[in-house]
Amino acid sequence: MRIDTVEREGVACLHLRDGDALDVSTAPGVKVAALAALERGRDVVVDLSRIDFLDSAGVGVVVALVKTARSRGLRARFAGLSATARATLGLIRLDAIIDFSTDVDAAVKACRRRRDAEVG
Amino acid sequence: MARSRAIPPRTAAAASGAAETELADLCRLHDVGLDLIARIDDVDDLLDRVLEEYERRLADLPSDAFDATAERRGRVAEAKLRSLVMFATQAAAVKEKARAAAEIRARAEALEAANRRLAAALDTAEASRARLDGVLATLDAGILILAPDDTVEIANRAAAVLIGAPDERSLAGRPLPDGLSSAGLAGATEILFDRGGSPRTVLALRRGLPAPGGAVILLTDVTERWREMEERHRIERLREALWTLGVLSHRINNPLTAMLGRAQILKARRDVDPSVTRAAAVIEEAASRIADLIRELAQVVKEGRRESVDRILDSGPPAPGGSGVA
Repeated sequence: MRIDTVEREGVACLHLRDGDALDVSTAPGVKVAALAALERGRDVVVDLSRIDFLDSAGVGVVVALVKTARSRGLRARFAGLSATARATLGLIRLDAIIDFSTDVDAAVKACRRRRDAEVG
Repeated sequence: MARSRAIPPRTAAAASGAAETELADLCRLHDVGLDLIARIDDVDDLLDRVLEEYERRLADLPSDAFDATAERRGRVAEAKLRSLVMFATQAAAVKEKARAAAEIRARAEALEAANRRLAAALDTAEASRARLDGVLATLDAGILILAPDDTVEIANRAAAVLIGAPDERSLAGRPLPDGLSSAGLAGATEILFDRGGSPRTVLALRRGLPAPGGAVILLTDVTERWREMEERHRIERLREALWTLGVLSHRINNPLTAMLGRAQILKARRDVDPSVTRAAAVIEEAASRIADLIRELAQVVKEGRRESVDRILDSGPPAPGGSGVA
């Protein structure tokens, strides 16, 4: 899986290309890229719009990134969930625990709003 | 006779292992549930704990646990997934309750802050009202502050006295007293109040208040002012009358002196007809009376008292044989 990282308004946006699964084989790469952005003090948005399947490792990365970001006073958001991905996350009610965004723009705005609210 | 079904040893062991796993998960679920409930007052702490539990459980799941096409997940994996779903349901419910509780707390705090601001504003308003009452009480002028519907909101003691009310509190909340409720009371209007046989003239000045409306009426007792003004006018008129009287007296006195002198000469002559002597005596007497009157008027003019003028003018003619002009 190719991961393109784009900086927008202080937010590192990770676009997942060339693959439709966030699973045991691709999740570690995404986690490493996202943790690197968090290391640089950046909020992270992961674009899941091309992901059709998440296994427990993929869902585990989602949870781990949110947890790590929170522990550093940062934000990790996930955007553009497909119906299948949403069903998987809904099965384990993660959609009731974590906020997901419809697309990357909305996720970046949400990060900025939260950041401004915390600074203000 | 009961028949028992034989369970193959390996299947029985697997079933027993799954049951133990499920039981252990249920116990853990119970403990985690209690832990989550204990953190319900701190949403951030609760979320951290929930994520931690998610992470642990997801790490414990086989990677194909979410794959709907996986026909044989195995009973242990199935139990773990079921346990995860149960935990997730529990966590979502607790988180929702925590969010609702946080919102209620935030609203309660906002309400409490608003209450504090309201109480402070009321204190300020009461202090301002007390200060206003104090100021109004010191005023000699009557003040009526009216609501938009023309009922009295605030009245001071002077207003109650001028209107003839028992006290200022008896006016509050009531319609305007008669005489003041006139819609035409837009500018300054004089109103006569009869307070138990003691009529008072009160000048009422009405001014409208900005939104939400209402008005202020300023009441001033002008009874004494009017009386003093009338007295000044009366004195002025009297002074003019006395001056005129003085001039007249002086002008009358000169011909009167000549007339009286001639009458006395005629009366003293012996070579005239007796009828002339009698006529001269009548003229002398009348002239003497006029001279007396003029002398008294001159004295009044000198003293400047109107009562004396009235007394002289009202008195009857002096007794016969009055003195002549001095």
